[in-house]
Amino acid sequence: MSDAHDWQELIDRHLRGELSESEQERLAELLDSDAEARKDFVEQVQWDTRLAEVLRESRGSSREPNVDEEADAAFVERTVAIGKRTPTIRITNVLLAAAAVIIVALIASLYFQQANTRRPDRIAVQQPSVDLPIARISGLSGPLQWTGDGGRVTYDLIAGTELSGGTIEGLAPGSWFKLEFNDGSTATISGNSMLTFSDHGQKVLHLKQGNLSSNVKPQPAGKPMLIYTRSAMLEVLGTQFEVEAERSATTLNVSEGKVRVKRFSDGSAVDVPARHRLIAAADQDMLPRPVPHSVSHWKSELSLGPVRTQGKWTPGADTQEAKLGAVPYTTPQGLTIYTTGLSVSYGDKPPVTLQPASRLRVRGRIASPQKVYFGITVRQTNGAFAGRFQTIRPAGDLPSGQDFEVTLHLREFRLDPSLASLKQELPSAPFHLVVETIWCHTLDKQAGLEITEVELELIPPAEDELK
Amino acid sequence: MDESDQKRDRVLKAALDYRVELLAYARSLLGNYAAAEDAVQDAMLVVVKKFDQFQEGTSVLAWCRAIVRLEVLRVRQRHRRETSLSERLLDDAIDAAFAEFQTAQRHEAVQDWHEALEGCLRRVPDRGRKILQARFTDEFSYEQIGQQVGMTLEAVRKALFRLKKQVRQCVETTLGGAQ
Repeated sequence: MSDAHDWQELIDRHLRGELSESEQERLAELLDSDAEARKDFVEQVQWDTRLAEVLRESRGSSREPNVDEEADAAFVERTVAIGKRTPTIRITNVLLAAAAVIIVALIASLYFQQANTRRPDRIAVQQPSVDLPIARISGLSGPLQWTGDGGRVTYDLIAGTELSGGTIEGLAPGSWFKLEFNDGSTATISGNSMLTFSDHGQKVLHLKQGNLSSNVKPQPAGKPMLIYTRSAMLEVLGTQFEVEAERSATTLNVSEGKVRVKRFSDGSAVDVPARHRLIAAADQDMLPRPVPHSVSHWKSELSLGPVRTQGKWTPGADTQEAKLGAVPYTTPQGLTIYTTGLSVSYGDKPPVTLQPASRLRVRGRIASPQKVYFGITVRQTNGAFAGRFQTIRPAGDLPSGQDFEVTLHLREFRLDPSLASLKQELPSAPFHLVVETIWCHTLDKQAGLEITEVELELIPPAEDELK
Repeated sequence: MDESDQKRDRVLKAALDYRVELLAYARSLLGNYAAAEDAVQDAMLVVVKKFDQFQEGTSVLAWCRAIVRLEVLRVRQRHRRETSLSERLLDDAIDAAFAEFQTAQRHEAVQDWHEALEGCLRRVPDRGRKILQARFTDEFSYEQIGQQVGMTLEAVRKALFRLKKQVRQCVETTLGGAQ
């Protein structure tokens, strides 16, 4: 590898915060001691930044600008008249933000002036059409239900379909759906989640329940993406985050940028910066806290109740442990899955990550011999869906009619075949990813599968070497 | 438009023209694109508020850079990030490098550069664009890119080096031919 390559790579990695302490020291020494290195450093950093700008713009610009953005851009050109050429969207954002005090009043007065002078028939013509696609499905898997603007319900969704707003619902723990808005912003739901979305010049999402991760491109000035849950409203200008909505609490994890959260119960608002977490609930402080370090060990606590579980929960008694029984779900294609699921990384709990030396220990019971699927749904640390991985135990492998304990090494887990079309985009193994849920199921027939305990642990090093 | 308004427009226009230079400076201090964007955006608001403190005849770029530096510190405080000794030494070295060598480009030259870059990127094959997008837009590590496109870590490093070199040569040839 040439010196030029090493030098460029050092700068490339420095710009993305990837240098170790010793590499930082080396870079500082080079810059301190060599004027040529300083000159080249500044030039490389500027070149890298220009390239990043153009690539980011090109990803977000593969569409026709919508009416509101065109109006905004034209308005800014008229009002501020800076520069000979059309400003980029990002510059427009900055301009609008910077000159907000001056132009907000003008925008408002122009808007009301127009609204008051429009004839009724013109108003109808100028309303945004509900049929215009605002986003397309960029990935999906598992059972999903789509309800369009007209209330039509569809189950047969395919990637690439353009949508004009509506409601998507994940019907099983393994459901996953990724939406890409026209500006390149993405929203992904996973598990039993329900999301309504629209974009009439401003993206408005309602997360009724479940988990949403999103990567939001810079939004038009004054029109941040809004996400409503039952307990809070999130205001997003452009960032990466993950949000979980429960009945009375909203948990937000911000990976990049910042998100403003307003709690409905008292109207209090707070900005949540990158790598921080906030739980918006009536009984908790509105205080962002650093996302806790990840852990590698996790154990279910079914005795405490059916918290974030899927299945029929039975409390423990003197002679039996608390358990979670598989419940049926029938897909629109007629396939019945008898499933149990446990959420792992959620709420104020530390993220649980998988290591190559991780193993899953499952205790339970099965009434009749049946093939059992054990799986995990994982996400990237920034909240993005990273796949489902599973391993199968053949019928008869687990003793029927009595308790079983099975140990599953992570190295045995393979990408769920139903995600084969996304193989190129998803990691090939679940290592170093965050565990969202652990699930077990049987297919077609009720085999009486019940789970009493699930534990994720690291194989002791000595034992691992023997494998 | 009175004198103060004229000064405000002049300073703001210059600051906006230097946005990429300021973003480059902020990135080199923060090591994160989104955080750098936040710092520059906040710095622009400071420019609007404090334009009257700018001393005519001095460098707008240097003045804006000083504002960005303060915003970078604020971003770090917001993220509650402690700065290590090696980071502080590197910050000082970077500051010195930018003060010494960062020069302001004419707005038209920047636009020509931008257009040439767009044209050259359109010529990059799909796989190459995917790699560049993964690194520059998604900020994926070499390893993650390798997993995404089915390449080894070493192959990703070489591909990125080659792609950046090709695009840069293309831009320079385009601009050289236009002159």
